Amino acid sequence: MHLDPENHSHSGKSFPPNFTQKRYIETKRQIIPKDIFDPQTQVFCVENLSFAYAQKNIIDNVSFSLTQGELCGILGPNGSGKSTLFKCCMNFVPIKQGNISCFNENIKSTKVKNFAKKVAYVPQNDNTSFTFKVHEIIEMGRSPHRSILGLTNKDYAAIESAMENLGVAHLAKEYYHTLSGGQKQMVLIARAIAQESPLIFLDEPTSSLDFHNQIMVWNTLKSLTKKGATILVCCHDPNHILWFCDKVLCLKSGKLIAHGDPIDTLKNPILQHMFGDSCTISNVENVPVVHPRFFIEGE
Amino acid sequence: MKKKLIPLLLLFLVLVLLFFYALSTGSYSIGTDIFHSVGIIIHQLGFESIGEKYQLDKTSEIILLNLRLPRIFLTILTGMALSVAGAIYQACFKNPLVEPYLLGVSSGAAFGAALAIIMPFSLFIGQGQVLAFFFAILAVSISYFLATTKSKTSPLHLILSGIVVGAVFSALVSIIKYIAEDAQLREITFWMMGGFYYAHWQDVIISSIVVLPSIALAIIFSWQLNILSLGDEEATSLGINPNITRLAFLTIATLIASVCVSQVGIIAWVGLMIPHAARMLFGSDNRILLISSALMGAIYMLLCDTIARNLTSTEIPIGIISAILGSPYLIWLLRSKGRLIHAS
Repeated sequence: MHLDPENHSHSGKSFPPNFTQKRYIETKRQIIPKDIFDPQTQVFCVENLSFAYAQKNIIDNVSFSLTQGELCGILGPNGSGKSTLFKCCMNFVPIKQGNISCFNENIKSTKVKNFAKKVAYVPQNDNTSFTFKVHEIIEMGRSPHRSILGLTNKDYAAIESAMENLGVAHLAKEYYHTLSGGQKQMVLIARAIAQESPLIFLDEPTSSLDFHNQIMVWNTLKSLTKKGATILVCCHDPNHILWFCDKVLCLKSGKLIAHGDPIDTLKNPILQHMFGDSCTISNVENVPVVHPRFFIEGE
Repeated sequence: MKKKLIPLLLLFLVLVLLFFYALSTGSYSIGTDIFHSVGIIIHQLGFESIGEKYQLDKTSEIILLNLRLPRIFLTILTGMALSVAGAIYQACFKNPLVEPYLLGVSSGAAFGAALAIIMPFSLFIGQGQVLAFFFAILAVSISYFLATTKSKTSPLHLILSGIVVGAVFSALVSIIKYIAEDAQLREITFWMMGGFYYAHWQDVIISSIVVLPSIALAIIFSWQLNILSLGDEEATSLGINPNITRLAFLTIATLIASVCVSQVGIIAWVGLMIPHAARMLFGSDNRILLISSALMGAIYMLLCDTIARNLTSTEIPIGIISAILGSPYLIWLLRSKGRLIHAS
């Protein structure tokens, strides 16, 4: 492997042709119907958002927007306000300053149930103390659509297609807590798909996965955006964002220091601003890779 | 879900059989067996044609219809209520170690009952029950109020404030015990052990008016309990307002637990054990769990009370039986199925 920190050039996504042709779970169902899918439409818009906790500014005047079919990653060091920004977007914490709108509706005035029909959430890992079966977990995704009479055939169809889409149909009768990390993540994503929300927000979906599963999850997300889903991911690994995302939001001390196409945005000055001198970016066989700047040599 | 229908029906059948068995036994022998008691009930329901065979003499009729029958119904209702309340509390607090007395139902009720016992005069009929109920609800309301900040209630704060309120009311009960006379002290202690000795039809009617609709309501909305047990953030993202939903479920659970405690005293252990046992047999899905808990709670309570009535010539307090009988069963379940069912 040749690391070449001095001579890297980004000109669009110039990955080798086989890079994007890896096998992954292709989701079959269209999330937004093709005829109304428009990559120009803004579906989620954050304006001048500030959030303070105990008089300390955690989010400082952040604005960004997501357009339909976008896969957007939030990147930043620990304590940069990533999680808080994420919680604000999910309406988990009350927003005092600024505005967040989803499909042109202010999320503060949106009812919890209606918001759930628009935005699905995939937590890092499910931390229930009770043992549910996989199909029970995925059924919960239908709760915003549920009537008092219980689940209808339409609900069951959505559950089944979500399970098939993500390749977890064979696990339906298993206990969730007995699954491997990768399978658990797929189940939680399947729940979000069953929820049929056009936006999906994920909180560090690959943090506890092995490398193969990390790539699986990202490719799955990518294929979901091709079907019209708009996805926001909180992420720790700049490489994942470089390889898979359409957009990156770089946070540092609560401020949005850069945003845009990952390959154009994640260059050395920005990386240095966020992570200090520790890392740098190079091209390895035309694929951009963020790697440590120094290696400690053995004697 | 359909697969679990048969075991549930079996449980119901067991409950029915136990009901008639309990009716036919007791310290006063009427000389009836299970079949006979079925006949008597059918006869009493107005089907005179069943025959003269099931006619009862006056004493037997009073014992059967005015002593045993209301007691059995009250036992069933209490078992159902405490188990369902336990299951609801466990889901609301995301914690399988929680019991329905967590927020102060038992200590509040004990204070109310003790207060009524030491009062030198009686203000109204059923004063003990009314005061017990009132203070049970008051204790839980104080717990809830203390744990609520900025219209949000965290489960952890609730548990802590429940412990605080429970401690305060226990101290108040101790004060009453300290100043009480010997006979009153004995009565307070007896009340706190719980029992169905004084069951009247009137108690059954009050209990069933509160308990049955509440349990039905909880079962209808039990799918929300599943989501609530995932935690507040996930519940929000799935379209459930965790604060409102938790408050609604806790109100239902507290109401049914308070009614039962105020009528029969503190019966420990059932509200913790039965939901666990039901979870191990039927899984954690609250849609099934509430129904199975209700049935298993009713069976268990009735079994314990029947033993308490029949084992010796004087009655054994039911709390003792239920703990001695329940512990080995739970341990057996834990060892045989625990590994599969527990998340960690």
